Amino acid sequence: MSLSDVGEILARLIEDLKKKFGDKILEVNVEPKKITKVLVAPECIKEVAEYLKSEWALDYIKGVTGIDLSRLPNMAQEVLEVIYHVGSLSSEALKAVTLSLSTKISISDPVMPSLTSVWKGAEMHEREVYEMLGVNFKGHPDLRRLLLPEFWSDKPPLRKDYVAPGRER
Amino acid sequence: MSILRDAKRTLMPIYAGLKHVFLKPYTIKWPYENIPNLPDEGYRFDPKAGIGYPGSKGRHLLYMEKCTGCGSCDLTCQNIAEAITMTYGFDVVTVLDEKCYEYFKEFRPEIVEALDAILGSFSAEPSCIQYNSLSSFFWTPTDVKQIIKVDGRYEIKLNLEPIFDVRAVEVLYQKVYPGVKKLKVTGWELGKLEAATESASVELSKQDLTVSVLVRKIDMGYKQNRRSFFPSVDYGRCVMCGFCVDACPFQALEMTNEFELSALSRRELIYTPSMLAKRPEEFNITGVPPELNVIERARMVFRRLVW
Amino acid sequence: MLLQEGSAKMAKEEFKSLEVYETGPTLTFSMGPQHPGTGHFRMVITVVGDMVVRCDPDPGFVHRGEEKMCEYKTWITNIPHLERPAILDSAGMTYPYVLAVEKLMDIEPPERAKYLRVIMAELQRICSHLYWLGLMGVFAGHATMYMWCFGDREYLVDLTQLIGGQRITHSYFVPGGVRNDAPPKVPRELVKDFSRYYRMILGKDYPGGEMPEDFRKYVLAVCDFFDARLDEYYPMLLDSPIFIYRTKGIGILKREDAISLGVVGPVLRGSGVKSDTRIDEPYDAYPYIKFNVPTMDGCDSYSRMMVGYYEMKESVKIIRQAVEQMPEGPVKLKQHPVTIKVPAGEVFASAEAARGQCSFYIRSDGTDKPYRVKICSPSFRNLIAMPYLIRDVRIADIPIIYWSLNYWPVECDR
Repeated sequence: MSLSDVGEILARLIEDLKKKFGDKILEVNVEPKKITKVLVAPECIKEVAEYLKSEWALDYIKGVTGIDLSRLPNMAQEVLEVIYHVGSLSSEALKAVTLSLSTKISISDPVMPSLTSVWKGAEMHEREVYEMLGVNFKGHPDLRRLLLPEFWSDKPPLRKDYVAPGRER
Repeated sequence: MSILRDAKRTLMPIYAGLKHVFLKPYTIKWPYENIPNLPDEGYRFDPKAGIGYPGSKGRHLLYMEKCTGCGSCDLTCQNIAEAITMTYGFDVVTVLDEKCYEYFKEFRPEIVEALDAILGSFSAEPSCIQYNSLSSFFWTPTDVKQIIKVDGRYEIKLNLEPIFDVRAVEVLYQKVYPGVKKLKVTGWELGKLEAATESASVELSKQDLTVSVLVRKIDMGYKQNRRSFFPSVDYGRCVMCGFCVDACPFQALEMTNEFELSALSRRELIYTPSMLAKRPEEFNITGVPPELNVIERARMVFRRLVW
Repeated sequence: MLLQEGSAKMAKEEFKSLEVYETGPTLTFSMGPQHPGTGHFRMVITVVGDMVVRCDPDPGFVHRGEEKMCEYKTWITNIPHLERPAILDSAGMTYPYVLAVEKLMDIEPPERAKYLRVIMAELQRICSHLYWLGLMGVFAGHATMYMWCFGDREYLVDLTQLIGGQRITHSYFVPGGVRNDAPPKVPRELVKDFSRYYRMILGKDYPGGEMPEDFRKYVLAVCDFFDARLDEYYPMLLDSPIFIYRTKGIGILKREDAISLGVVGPVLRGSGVKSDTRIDEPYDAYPYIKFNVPTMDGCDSYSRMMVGYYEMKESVKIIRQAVEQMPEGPVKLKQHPVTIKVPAGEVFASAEAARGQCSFYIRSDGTDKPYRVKICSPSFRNLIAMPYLIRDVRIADIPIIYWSLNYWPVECDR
């Protein structure tokens, strides 16, 4: 599939999302070849995700990224961004598409609904984001530590205020 | 038929195993046999073309006559493995005055004690005077030859090859200080202590005797590198990625196909610039492999005859 | 045929008759992290009798914080440590990173570099799959396969060493191309050794007389040899009744489950889903190369192994085409060897590593270091399948299911 087709499909998808959800879509970042990101509020992310899965057949989870945006130069915000990278396998036309559905939550009270009920495969990814950035996923079936030791008592390591030992300077 | 086929498939591994009894094994008996699959050359990088030449990424080879001591390799490695350190070459010298030298000739116990302690802490180092007891030190003509008279004082150079380190103080603390500590117990007093990057010295005195130990930088006489500032590589940390070779703008660093880098201690894995400057064929760090017993030797002969 | 019916099905019936699932005495124990089969990985397993009721995977024993490390290192000096999680497949691990940085920088590598990358990636895919297949032989009690795979792997690893300078972790890919060209000639000793080996194993001389020293021809010779060898592997392991009995019907992952769990690579294709990043989102030289994506409908451990086997065949095909089509020319863009400037932005890029799709999400803030690097490694995405597969099976089947997922603890933990 050529790139222009993918771009076309994504443009249509975003148009459809805007029509359906209106103001709930806070920001759309489309960079051809690089990323297509849709930013929504944490309250309605589940709604959007369910719509994407049922109407657009985006049923294949590729990864969940958490970012601490508090040290970003020029545009630092005291927020955590959680991004779900999703694709599709049941629809042939959408195989090359990766949509990034993101939401921003405050760093002091990082709570958001879990999307494991929409994408079952997000379970381990959300557990990783939970321990690495301290995001609490409401409704997650089994929110425990995954990679870090059970006795870890320091800050979540991927937050920017955690400095790796020996890298203080 | 399927039972026959299954039986055949089940017996196949046994047949293959039997067949391989009479075939050459996959393995190579290194170090008794050569490894055939090493690339002939080492990895090099051409900074003008901005491209590397294919080759094995083994131990580094340093061209001292090209290295300017800019530290690009060090800077790159800081982000990768922190294996490269830029180092100066140092000499460690024990300085005796006229009176001490006379005592030294006469075997006065105080001065013998002092030299014994300093040399004792030194002899553990590789590439330094190999020292067993003081008497052997006296009567080995090569060692006595190292006593030079400079400005009315007598200097005994303790190291045979330059010692490479970041600062002179480090050399003093690491290599001389254990001996000085011992002397403190027996009544020697610590005099003036001078500590700097390029030179360091410590003065020891007991009654009317004064012995000082001096660490000083060597000028190795390279025109492009007046500071004599060269990289040394710690192979306990190096990951052999070769980005230091890419970073060198003067083609002073290369890699060789030498991979036999094992050592008995971590300290032996730190290769000084003078070790890195030697080509692999000049340099033999691995010892002789243990001798084979009769059965193994017979096997080797069999391998060579049959295959 | 009785032998080819899965043991899981039989075991399940037996299990039902016992009727102890809810009420029977259970035993919970750890498998790993010091278990020869699992590597640095632990499974907490609950059993009733010898039927597994529950499996709770516990990774993290080799977690090194690669993602945090990326934030402290510069764009190019990240490469050596990023390939460490999957040393058998270091090309597959660094490929998406390099693609992502190239997308951020908006550059395109020279044509020859694209082909060299494809050759390297496919060589490492074969090496990784051979390791997989060989150890699967060990798990199924078939040591011959282990010896064969590791013996043949040596000559493919040698090719990696000739091109990249190292046997496994070569740091060969950089944004903007590859670090060096392929050598024009192969060392004579290696050619001699290989021709002797060729004659010994295949029982015939290399067609056309002497083994060539020219690099391209030598690669083709190795491809020919390996293709012939793969045909011998099939009756030895994959058609062996013992192996079929151990793997068929064990660890069934249905098609819809595979999609909803988000598994990748041979595990996904073994469940009958035709998905391959090389075809779906072609990168570098893959659009110019013809190859198939093998899939199997068995959904069990056997299908996953078969997919791995057929993938090796396809990889040989790809290497042959790439070597033949490879144009002359530069292999790297003109740039500083260790310091590159990457503009601010974010990118999500994927490539097909040996164990499946490996994706990188990178956020750059315009400085010399990445702001955030997220690695979605294939083993981590396959990890979720483990509690679903290791359930209602016998303890003896755990190693087979575990290894058929081609799980690599370090790659999962990063």
